[in-house]
This record gives sequence, structure tokens and C-alpha cells, in this order.
Amino acid sequence: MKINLNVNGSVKCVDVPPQKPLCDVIREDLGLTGLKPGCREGECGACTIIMDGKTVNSCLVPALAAENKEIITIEGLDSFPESKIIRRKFMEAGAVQCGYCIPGMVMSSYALLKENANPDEGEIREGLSGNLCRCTGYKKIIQAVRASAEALSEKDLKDGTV
Amino acid sequence: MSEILKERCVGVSVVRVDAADKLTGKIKYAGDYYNDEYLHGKTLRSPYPCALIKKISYGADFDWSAVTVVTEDDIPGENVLNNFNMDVPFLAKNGKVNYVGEPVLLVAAESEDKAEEALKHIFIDYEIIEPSLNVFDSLAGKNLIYNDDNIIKEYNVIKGDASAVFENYDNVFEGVYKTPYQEQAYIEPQVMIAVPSENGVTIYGSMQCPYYVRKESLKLFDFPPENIHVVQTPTGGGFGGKEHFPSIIASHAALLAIKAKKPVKMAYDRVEDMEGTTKRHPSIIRVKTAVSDKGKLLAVESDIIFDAGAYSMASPVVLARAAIAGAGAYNCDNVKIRARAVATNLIPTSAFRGFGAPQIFFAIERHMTRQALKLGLDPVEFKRANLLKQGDVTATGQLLKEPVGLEKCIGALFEKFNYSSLYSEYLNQPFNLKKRRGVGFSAVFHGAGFTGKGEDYIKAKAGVRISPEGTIEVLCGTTEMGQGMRTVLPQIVAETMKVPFSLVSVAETDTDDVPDSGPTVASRTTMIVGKVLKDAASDAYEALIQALKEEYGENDIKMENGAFKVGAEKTVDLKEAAAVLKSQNKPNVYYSQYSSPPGVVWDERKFHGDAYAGYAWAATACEVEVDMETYEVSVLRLVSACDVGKAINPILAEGQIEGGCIQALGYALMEDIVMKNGKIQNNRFATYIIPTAADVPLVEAVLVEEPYSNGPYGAKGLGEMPCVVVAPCVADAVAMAAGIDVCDIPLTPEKLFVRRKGESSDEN
Repeated sequence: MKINLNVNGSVKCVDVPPQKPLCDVIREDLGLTGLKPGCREGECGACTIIMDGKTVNSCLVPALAAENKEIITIEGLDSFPESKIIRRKFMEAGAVQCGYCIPGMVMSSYALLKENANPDEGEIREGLSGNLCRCTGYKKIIQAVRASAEALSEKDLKDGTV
Repeated sequence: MSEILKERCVGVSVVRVDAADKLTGKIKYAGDYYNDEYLHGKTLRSPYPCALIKKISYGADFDWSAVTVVTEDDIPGENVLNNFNMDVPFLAKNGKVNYVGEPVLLVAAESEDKAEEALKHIFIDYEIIEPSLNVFDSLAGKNLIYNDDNIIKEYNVIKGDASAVFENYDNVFEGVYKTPYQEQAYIEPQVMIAVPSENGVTIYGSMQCPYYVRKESLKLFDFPPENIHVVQTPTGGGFGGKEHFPSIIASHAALLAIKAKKPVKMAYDRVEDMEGTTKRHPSIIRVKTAVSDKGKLLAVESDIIFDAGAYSMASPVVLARAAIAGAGAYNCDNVKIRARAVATNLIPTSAFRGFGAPQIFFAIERHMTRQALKLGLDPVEFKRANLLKQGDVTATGQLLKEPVGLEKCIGALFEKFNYSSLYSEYLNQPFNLKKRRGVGFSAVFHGAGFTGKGEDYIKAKAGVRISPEGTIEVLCGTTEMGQGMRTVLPQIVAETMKVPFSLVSVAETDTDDVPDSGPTVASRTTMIVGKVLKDAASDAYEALIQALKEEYGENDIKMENGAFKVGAEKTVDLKEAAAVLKSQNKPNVYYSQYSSPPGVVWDERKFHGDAYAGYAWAATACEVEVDMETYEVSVLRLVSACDVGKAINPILAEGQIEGGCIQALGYALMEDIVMKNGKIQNNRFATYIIPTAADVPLVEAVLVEEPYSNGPYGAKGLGEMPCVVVAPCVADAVAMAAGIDVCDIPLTPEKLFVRRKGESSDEN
């Protein structure tokens, strides 16, 4: 079945079974392998994308249900200046280890900060609770998100120093 | 720029080199490779814990022309993993299966769906054999799985005469402690790609030990091991789960690829990974102690039983660590340890971060706390009075010549965590509070590197290569799996060669290019391989200096700001220096090889002597709150002080401690495998629960540095230790808070509720 997908600002037509999980369509048919199939049942969050402004586990979305929705993947996050700050803060905090959960973590962090520019620790924990990480113990990830919020609220963005 | 020109590189938290590519999703893991040429491999597994395969039939209504099938008959060599007790088959051997999930045969087809479809058209008649599904049935000989006694390995450690002390002493205290399975739960499931070559096969995949893939499949094929070319792809966590098992998946993919003459990708999904791959050994440990009136530990006896599952896998070596730590981190003159790994018709257990130590330290540390309370002593004071010190002799008879970092750890720990005042406060809290609190403390050691003579057998080789471009490549066969090797090893080399960090990187982990540095396990990479690399880097540096001396006839040469200063005037950068080396026909690659420090003596037969050349130490304290209605446990604080010798990269070292502690917190509070008739019931993240960001404390890692004389810049192994130290500490705190004398983990609310009703935890 031919389905139009709006991914990272450009519309692509894919010919796939309508029930094919969106995570596989994005990875196999569009070649964007940043999102990871860690569990295929919506538990680990490694395949997190943003669809119409909300984070979703792309493994739980059938391709057809994504038609004409605005989809952002980790690859598309580059065009938003906030993502550069988030990445920098993740690096500085030492929040990355094996990296497999990280694209999903970055997506969830970005979405959280879009919705709540100044989340406290509890809100950050809640916002990341759908993303499993087995390496870091979460502390440095939580700190990275908090540091991102602080940096974003400061002058970095306005100055264009991002 | 400022960072790369820094003189010093060791002890600096440089940003890990792979962070950027991981944060953008650009880094490619094995599963990220797609190719229309690939066939997709799938495994047909046993549904029974023990059965004979009577007949395999292939559905006549299915088109088999485009499907490759591999059975035991297709194995060109021997159906045995070349390691351990030489008992692990790649596919069910001689028509018998010994656990649910054991691979029986393999198929490959053009798509995963097609391969799955093929599996549904293969029918196997089994004759079911009554299985042995627990260690006691196995010890009673219910079903013979391994040899004539089901004992895969046994060690006995004897020091002094514990039995005599127990006989002559009234105050003997005994307890039984149980620990569960634990699933590694790396977020990247296992993936292998096998590409047939002219005379062998090339393997790409997620793994800890590329040279193990080659070594362990040695007997399987009819070509020499060097024709198995292995390339490690970026690996999304391992924790021991990708130590040996990747050899099996790689071999499966290779068998299919060679038969089909096409590349084969074998990607486990989460369920297959959880049901089919090895886990941490469950244990039952009986501990007996005698303590003098003055609180001195007089004798310890430990009887350790590990459930090894159906095959040996790493059980012998995992068990060795438990046996060596059978008296914990305590100084005791009379020690008797018996450790057995017992075969059952259950999933084989093998390597998992900590490697036998989490089980024994849970038992010993929890027992020592209970022993102290029984005698009316303060647990921390009792433990501190009996912990090992420099100059003491361990259970295996090892004189601790190097400084013991434990007291430093405890000092640093209690600077951050006011244990004694909290302890007194919570000791006096009313019992009828809705929420009660408690504190816990534990102390452990971890021997880094292989046990006994292991490192002498491995003789880790690693080197540095000076490229024509003036960069330095680290050549090692150990791998990056998230722990930070690709950052830490270049830091050691950059420091030693006095060159900017940015000029040093680790070469691709490819067996055609890098030497065998031993496996990426046992917290050995920084301490052992790092030391080898430091030596190699020294040689390379000296060679460069020597070449420049000859070239310019100048004796005053030193490295300054990333370039050689030759005499007073001339500056030669690394690129020019590499060219000088080449023009003089001198080698550009410098290898070194590990040798144990002098005086290390180990008797494998008696299990006596210097079990490890160096030890790392840790002390941990926590504070918990237990809801006395729901029995939910919240860990309010967890502080872990680890003696790492030298933190080469402090932020990465902290990350190891924080992550290891939380993995161990899952072990202590929530993780377990539920078995029913030998089949794993919780085979997914929805049912096998691991800690999330919502339910963990922010671990406070304290880096303590008591240098190890044979480690690079004093560094010791670190990675596993946090996984060893946490569970008993949490159990102590929960026991104190809830007023329940717990002896087994995980401490789920359900278990605490049952215990509250007075059911003994010592049954069985």
C-alpha cells in the first residue's frame, strides 16, 4: 500500500503493508536508523519519535496511522537549535554510555523541554520514565536535561551561540 | 583547542569520543545494516526442558527451495563450543535437548517473515524425559545432565580449621541466603551478520570478545581459525551477556551463510534474547560463623550452590570468583568454603557483571549484619573491626602486600553519609509508623583481571601504531561496549607519549588488524590492557626520540605542546617524526604483552595463593523507606565509595559506579526470572522489570584512589564492583526499616508482605 509519510520536513511515499510498524518503515524503507528497535512493544523507548508534537514509540504505530502526520526523528532534530544544546549537555554530563537508548532519550528530552521549559527533577524523571537505560543509572541523563533547561533559558539561544 | 593541548590527559574527564555520533543517531550498530543480499536467520528451539528428538519432518505444503536449513548433520567439524568443560553444543547434540529454548536447527530465508514461516512448517517429534528443574533434584540425581553427579564444577578453599572452631564453640550462627537469576537486559539485543568468504567467513556483530568468537568456534568448522575474520560493531551494552553467547549466534549465522553462500543476518528480538541467552546464576548459600566475645570473627564456613543450567558455559570461572570471596572481605584465620555449580534442565547461566561476586557478597554481607545484630553489636563497627587490612592473609592464603583501600573508602563514605546518627535514629523509630526507614552498609573487594594464572595464560597483547599522518592508533582486541574504552585507553597512551589526546584513537576492532588482548570482561581492560598499552606507548615514544636523535644529531629532545622540541630551536611535529622513523626503516608499530607482577603464586589444584594480582575495594551505604502498608521500598540515598586506584577519566568512572549501582538495585529489589516447567515466563520488558528514571535514587559516586603498583597510573579494575556491593546494603536497610529479617532477594513488596506474616526465609 502506498503511504505518504512526512518525515523531518519532507514527504516521502513508501509502498509497505499498512500494518508494518512505523519503526521498521523509517529504518528499512527510509534508511533512517537512528531510532532503535529495543523491544518492539513500547516498553524501552529506544524507538521514540515525535509525531504531531508528541513523543510516541514508533514500534507501536502502524505505518498507515502515520500518514500525513508530522514526524520528527533523531536525524531531523538537527534543524532545531535546542537539540544542539541538549546534545552538548549530554556530552558534558557524561550521560552517554553504550548509546543504544540515547536517540530515544534525546527525543524525549527535547519533547519534555518543549512542553515544560523549566522542569524540576521529578518532572524530568517522569518525562524520561518511558526510556530504559541499562548503563548510566539515569543520574547523568537527568542532570543533562536539567542543564539543558538552564542553558536554554539563558542567553545561548538569543545570542545565536548555539 | 585548549583541551587537546593540555599536558596531562590522565585524570581528566575528556568527553567520550563516541558521544557525538551516539547523540545524533549516526553511529551504526549491527542491526542498522540493511542489505537486499542478506538472508535472515532464525532458530528453532526446544519447547521442552529435556527430551529426545525422535523425528524432524518438513511440511510438504511449503516451498523449501528458497530456504536454507542447517541441522547438526550440516556441521563440518565438531558440535562443541571450544571452551569451558567442552560440553556446550551449538545445536542440540545427538538428538537430545536439555533446556527450553535450546537451539535445535536453523533456517535462513530472504526475509524474517519468510524464515519465521519456514519454522512453522518444521515438525519435531519429541520423547519427553522427566527433567531436573532445581539444584536439589539434580544433586539427588533425578536426571543426569552432566557426568554422573550433575556437578559442573566444585572448588574447596580451606584455611586453618573452621570445623574445629565450630565444634569447640557455642556461639555459632548459621543462615541461608538466596539470590535470583538476573537478565543482562542490554538495550541492544544481540545481532550478528555472517558473510561467507573464499576460505572462511567474516562476522560482524555486537560482542564483547571478537577473539572468543574465533576461538570458541574453532572446532566447528573445517577451516583454520584465522579464516574466521571478526569485526566488532558498536555494541549497545554487554554486561557479560555478550561475552560468550555471541560466539554461538555468530556460529549459527556462519553455518547458514556458508551453506547458503550468502550473507546471513541473525537479529534476536527482545523475547528471543531474554528466553535464549545466558543469565546470572541463581544461588543458594549457607553461611556459618563463629565470633568471639570481643567481636572477632573466628571462623567462616560457606556452602555455595550455583544453578548452572544445562551446560557449563562460564560457570567454572564464575564459581571461582564466588569461592575466592567465600569469606567476604574479612580477615579470618579459619575458613572453609565449598562451592558447586550444579547442572539443571534450565537455561545455562554464565557471565554477568560481577561474575559470582554479587551472590556471595550478598550472602556474606547480609550474614555478617545478622551475626552482629544477634550478638547485640553495631553491624558497621563489627564489620570494620574484622575487615581485611594490608598485611592480612585472605581465604586463599594471599598476603595482601598492596595497600587495602577499604578504610579509605569507608572514611570517604561516612563523610558523605552520616550513617551512625541515622542508624541510631531509625533504631528508635516507633513500629506503627506508616512509613519506616532504615540504613544499610556493605563492604566488598573485587579482583580485577582473570583469576589465578588466567592473565598469564592470556598474555594480553596490545600496541600503538604511528601513522604517516602523525596520529597514534591504539591496537587492541578489547572492545567498546559503553564503558568508555575508546576514550580511556587513548588517554593512557596520550599521557604516556605526551601527545595531544586528539591525535590518539583506537583502531577498528577487527581481528585482521588488532592483536588478541584477551576478552573485554572481568574489569580488566583499563587495568590490564591499559598497562600493556602504557608499556607499548613508552616504547613507541622512546623509539621516536631515538630516531630524532639520530636524524638531527641532537641529544636534547623532548615533547612540548604536542610536538618534539629538538635542541633549542627546532620543532618537529608527529607527522614529520613518523616520516623520520620511516626513512630510517624503523617499525611504526610497537606491541607489548602482559606479564604478571613478580611474586604472584597460584595453585589452581589446591585453589590456594594469589587469587588476583590486585584488588579494588568498595564501601556503600544507603537509606531506604518502606511503606508498611504496601511494602513498597524507596531508596532515598545510595552512596558508593569505590577505590579505583586512579580514575583515568573521572566522569566515566562515576558513570560506571552510578550505572552499576542501579543495575544492582534492580537485582536487590525487582529483577527475577519466573520459571514454569523450565520455561521463562517473563520474557519481555513489560514483565521483566528493570529500574527506570522514575524509581531510582541519584547514586552518589565517591572516587577513592589508592594506586595499584602494576596498574597504568595506578588504575584498578572498576566496572563490576558497583554491581557487587549494593544488594546486601539495600537488604540491610530494608530489613531494618520493615523489621523483617530478609535473607533473599529481590525484595519485592509481595515477598516482604509474606515475610511479615512470619514465614521463615530459611526454608529449603
